[in-house]
Amino acid sequence: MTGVTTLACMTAFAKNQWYVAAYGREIGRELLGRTILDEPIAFYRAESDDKVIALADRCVHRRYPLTAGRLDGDTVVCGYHGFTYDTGGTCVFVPGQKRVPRTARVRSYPVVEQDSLVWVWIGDPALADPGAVPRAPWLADPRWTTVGGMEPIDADYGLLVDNLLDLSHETYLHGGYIGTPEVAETPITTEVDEGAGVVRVSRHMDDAECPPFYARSTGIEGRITRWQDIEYHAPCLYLLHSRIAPVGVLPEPDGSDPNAFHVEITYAITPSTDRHVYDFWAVSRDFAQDDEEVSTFLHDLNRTVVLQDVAALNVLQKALDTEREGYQELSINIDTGGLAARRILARLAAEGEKTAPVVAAK
Amino acid sequence: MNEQRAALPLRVVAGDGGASGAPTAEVYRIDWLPGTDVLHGVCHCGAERTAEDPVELWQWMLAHPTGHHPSGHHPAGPPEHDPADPPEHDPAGPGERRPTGHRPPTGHDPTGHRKEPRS
Repeated sequence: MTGVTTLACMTAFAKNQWYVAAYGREIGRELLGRTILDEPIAFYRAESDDKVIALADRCVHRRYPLTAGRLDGDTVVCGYHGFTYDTGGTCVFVPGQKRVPRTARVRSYPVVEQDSLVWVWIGDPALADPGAVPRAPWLADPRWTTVGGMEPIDADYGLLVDNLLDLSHETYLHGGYIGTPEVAETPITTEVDEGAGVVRVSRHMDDAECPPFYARSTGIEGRITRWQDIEYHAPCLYLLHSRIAPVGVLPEPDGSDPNAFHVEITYAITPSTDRHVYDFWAVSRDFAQDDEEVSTFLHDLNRTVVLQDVAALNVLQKALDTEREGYQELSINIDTGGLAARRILARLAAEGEKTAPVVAAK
Repeated sequence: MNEQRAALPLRVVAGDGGASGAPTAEVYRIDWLPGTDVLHGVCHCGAERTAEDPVELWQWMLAHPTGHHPSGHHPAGPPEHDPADPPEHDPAGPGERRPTGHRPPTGHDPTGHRKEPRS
């Protein structure tokens, strides 16, 4: 039977990868706790150099969350008995005695702060390569204006990957916001760089209705030429390059594109637990950069769209939880890119297990 | 059996355990032909195949080089191999990364195009 795929369980986590933990603006001199790939992590900025620090959010003494403690300069002080840790996770003070046990330390995670995002390496720290963090430079580029946020979803992160790799759902789930009939009707091109773990899905609509998301932000009245170019860097970073122009307006022969509006829609898909995922979203534009009304509009409308996805995936996860093991799905042409993404995630998960360290007593 | 949530054969590729995003030569492309239900797949070796089912087309694609004939075009049909067989590795070495010429999204240059502010 063609198109049928059989599934059994949750999407495996891919360890030894970089994941977005937070926006840079979320981390300061207050402790922030996030659970990433089942690992509870405490984040803060060091007082001395403003660098983001990530430590296991469990005191080595009695497992009290460090996020329930406080900061003292560059150190974290456990709120329960005062065990104090430096930025490398080494315990530098215990109450009542001179000797700090030699093995007293909490795990410290490699961090990269780049493109307004804070990335954390989940896996063997020795394998962390800051150069491997995928880029979204417009997020921190003054030529672009960005609005964004994060919504948590009570679902397997694989459901969010499925959702983002197939935008035909915009027609049905987001109709009247970013969806129009042409999105689901227009065929896609899928290109997968298997070696690099990058999935590209393109949908170029020559003549489409202009949805409110773009009509009210660009001021275009009438129909548009609308291009959606997805670039997914498994496992975490998803980029949607969006080009909007009046019908028939194309880039110049020299490759420049002065007559079109460009929006970069960036998502970071960060698994938290088997049934919880952080959905980071951002909308960056290269037009009307100083218009606060456009910023507010795009923020509020995109958040509404994200919340529609949240509601849908929460419902879907509940439904899947009632399914027997080995339930079947049926895939059609719109799923071409999503299927490739699932395969790459499975490969990354398998590779990540091969080199993951034995977890010491937590 | 505790299967991973994967629809397609798993390819375990030797490498550094991470995907940096740097382009490689192992690129697969599937075009959905406009006005039809037909998918046209092109493997990095040049072999082509058409199908109306993405699962079937990916299975054929990832079986490379089994069933692949770079000079030939293959219409829809059962794959020429048992999907349960592990695919052979590219003799060039799947872990070897060779720049292919990254193809940016057509017509897009996110360096900031100035337009008139919306009035």
